[in-house]
Amino acid sequence: MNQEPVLEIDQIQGNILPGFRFPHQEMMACKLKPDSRFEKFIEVILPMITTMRESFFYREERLYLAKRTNTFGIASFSLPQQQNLFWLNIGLGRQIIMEYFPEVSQLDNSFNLGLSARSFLLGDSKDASAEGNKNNWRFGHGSKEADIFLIASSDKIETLDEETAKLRELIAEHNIELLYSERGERLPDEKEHFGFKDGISQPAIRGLVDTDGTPISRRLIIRGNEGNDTPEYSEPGKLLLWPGQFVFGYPKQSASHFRTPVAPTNIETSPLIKNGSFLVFRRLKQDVAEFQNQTQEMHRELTASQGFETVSYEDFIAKLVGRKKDGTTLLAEGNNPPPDFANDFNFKSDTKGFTLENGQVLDPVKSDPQGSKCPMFAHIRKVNPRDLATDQGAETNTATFRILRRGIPFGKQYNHTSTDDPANKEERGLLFLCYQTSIQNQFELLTNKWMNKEARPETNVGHDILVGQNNEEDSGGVKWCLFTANGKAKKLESQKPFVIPTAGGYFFCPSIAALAAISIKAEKNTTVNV
Amino acid sequence: MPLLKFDTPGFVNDLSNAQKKAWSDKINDWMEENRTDLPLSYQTIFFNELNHPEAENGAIAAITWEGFPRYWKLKFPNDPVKMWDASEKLYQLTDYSGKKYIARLQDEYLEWKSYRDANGKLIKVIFTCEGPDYWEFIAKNDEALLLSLYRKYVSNAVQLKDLFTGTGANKQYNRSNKWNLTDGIMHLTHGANTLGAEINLAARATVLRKKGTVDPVSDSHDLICCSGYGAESRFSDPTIGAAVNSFVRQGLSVTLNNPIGLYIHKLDTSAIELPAGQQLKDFWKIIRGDKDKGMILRAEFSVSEGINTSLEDITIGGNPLKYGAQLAELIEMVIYGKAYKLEAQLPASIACENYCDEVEQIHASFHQQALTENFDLKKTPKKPLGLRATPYHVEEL
Repeated sequence: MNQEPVLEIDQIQGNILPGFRFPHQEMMACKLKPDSRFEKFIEVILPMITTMRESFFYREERLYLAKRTNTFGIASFSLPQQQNLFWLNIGLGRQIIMEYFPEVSQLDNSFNLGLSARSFLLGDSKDASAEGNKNNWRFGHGSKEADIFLIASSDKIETLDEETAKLRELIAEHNIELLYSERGERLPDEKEHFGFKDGISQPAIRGLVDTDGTPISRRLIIRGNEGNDTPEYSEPGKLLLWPGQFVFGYPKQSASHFRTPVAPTNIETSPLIKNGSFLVFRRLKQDVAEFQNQTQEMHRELTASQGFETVSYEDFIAKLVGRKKDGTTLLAEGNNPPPDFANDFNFKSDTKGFTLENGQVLDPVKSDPQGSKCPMFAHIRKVNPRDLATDQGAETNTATFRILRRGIPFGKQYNHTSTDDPANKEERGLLFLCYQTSIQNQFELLTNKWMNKEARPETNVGHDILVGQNNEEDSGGVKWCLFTANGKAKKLESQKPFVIPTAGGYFFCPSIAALAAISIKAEKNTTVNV
Repeated sequence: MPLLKFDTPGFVNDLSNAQKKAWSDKINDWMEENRTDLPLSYQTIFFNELNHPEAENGAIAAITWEGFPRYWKLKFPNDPVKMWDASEKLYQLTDYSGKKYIARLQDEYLEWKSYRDANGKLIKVIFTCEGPDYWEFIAKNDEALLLSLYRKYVSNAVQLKDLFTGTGANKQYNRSNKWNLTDGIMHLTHGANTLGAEINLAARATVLRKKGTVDPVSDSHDLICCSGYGAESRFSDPTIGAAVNSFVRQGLSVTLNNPIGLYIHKLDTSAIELPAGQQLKDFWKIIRGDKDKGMILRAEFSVSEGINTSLEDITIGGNPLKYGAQLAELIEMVIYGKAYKLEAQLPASIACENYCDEVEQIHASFHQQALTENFDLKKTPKKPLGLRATPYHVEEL
């Protein structure tokens, strides 16, 4: 059995592991000017940076109280003893990183190039007049490329208001330009703006938080994980991955074995790289009205076709996503997974009949290798093929592409009962954040190779209609999927985008020690050349 | 219309009518060889369309994969420049029969050559996916035609003697001639990149497999390891095999659609950023094959006359275009399968044969032996491997 590492939880920023999850968050993007006092700024905010220790033990307390009081979701943040918390994390752009930690350039060519340079590869529009073209982003391109990215967060909106006001003052005091600032708010029932429950599938992380053996991801299974080369789960539906996939300096997931890790490289374990992570931020505008227009038109076309007359609209859009709006898996049909473990399913093979530490016994859940329940073009199957081998390699390799998602919605909920509501014209969407140790082989691969491609990661059945983009020459941005049922097939097209990138950046989130190394220089220097 | 003959790849019109007939006969022979090598119950599951005119309306499926070798992606996961550079060099390969030959280590049925000016700047990239089998056929049947095609597509300086080795009865077309390696590129060079290997792969992939309690196996990597039709480490072999096998699992028989060939399906243009005002058609040119049918055999990426820019002004995913390999990463390959219901009932699945373990063992001992003077030429696998599964030893030149 492979020994799991003890993570340096006082060094890792807390939104990487286990994630802030607070209902109120504010994203701020900043740019340095020639007279910016960057090192001094880092020195001032360093004590404010929230570590994994704080966010981990807070989460443990909150989840414990949530279960005891049966209080879940946003309401559970009122349970812990500590209230009115203000948590802050930071990411630094490529130009700053190259100045202070040039060895990072050996880790990921995509980070070195930056999001703006990679925008077209991610499928963003090449039409300079299009809203999603990088020239029109709120920040992230050309002179608006961010050097600093801040994630401010609180359990209370008033606390976040107060503290971000102070943060703005600090930014101004250090002659740093604030390019962008936007509030994210979790929506009721954890839904995103199209109405689907979001953030359900996250990998479980191997590793411990102390030498007493406290695991990062609680292990609930006492039977069902047997074997030396099979996948191992912390709880049903949560695949255990080695932490080096998300935080530098720790064992990484092997492309050829589920349980035996790959050792980190010397660069990854070097003092200023270890405990850091790459962050991708994308401001994704969601056009709810256009989503409805496009999907209703597709549904009309589908139900006008022989053999599909009885497919309901709700069932149709559930197939595009791969889940029903309440998050229920489409594989549950004919199975009976308990609600706590509704995410326990695989595509290739039936799940194990797990026995949990509390004595609960789960029945195996039938798989869906042919995509008859959850289609191969469904968003959740495209971005997380689970136990499937893909065009990129064996099923063990599939596990290496996972990311840690930390997104939060922005904007008011769309008013479906009164579509004339002026608020419906305001922007809404997702502040998408994800952490990984290879932007190229994780976030970019999922986007460019799978979501945006009609024949990947399985067969030629269409794009990810929900989030995928198609900017290929002569495509007109049209995406398609092949809807099948009862031996019939119908090709459907989505003509216009309804998820539009409007800002973003690639950042490196250093360890506390690495940030301290910058702040130490504040004593010597007053400005930094960028 | 029922199929009456096999056409040349991409319907290229190089051959005389008599030669076209001979080419069709050659393909027919290969189809029959591979079909009759299968277990008896599978000899109508992989079918020869010339023997089954009723299959004319069978469903045609495009089976696609990435053209840039996964071999290099695995070797240089975080260093694209080293990866691009290494992928464009020539290597001495030794197959398990002991045969040494020089080739490009580009084994996804796509090969390319980057042309540079005196200062080393990239000026042109030629891509090909034409199997050497077709060119050997021309060399055997019509040397004048061979020379004229080489002169048309590679260089006016090509001489017939450059293309052959030996004399008299020993005279043989040389796949690794200089106009196909160092001084040009006409067709595929890697030993696994042949039309024969494509047919062999498709035939072997029709066999349904069972492994433990799973019957039939559907996973692409389990299938390739069960049937040994290729290398699991490639993009192409597991993808092609799984697609072929999925038709059989649906109760259909499978063949390769006419004209049997390996094709560039398209250049994925997403990541390409051209200088302002430029259009892709001024750079990406189809030389042989048919773009509209998705059957491109030969393509060129270069600056057209009258266009005032250089290739390095183009970026691919933010990187200036300096290697043909950057474009190869954007190329999607394709073969076309055809599925038709010939049998009312599918044959029984055959137990998995665990080829991957065997290939790994062969690889290990083979690499060890290849480096010694006592290299055992008789070392062969216990079970017959697919042509695409044959291990080879790599030495840098």
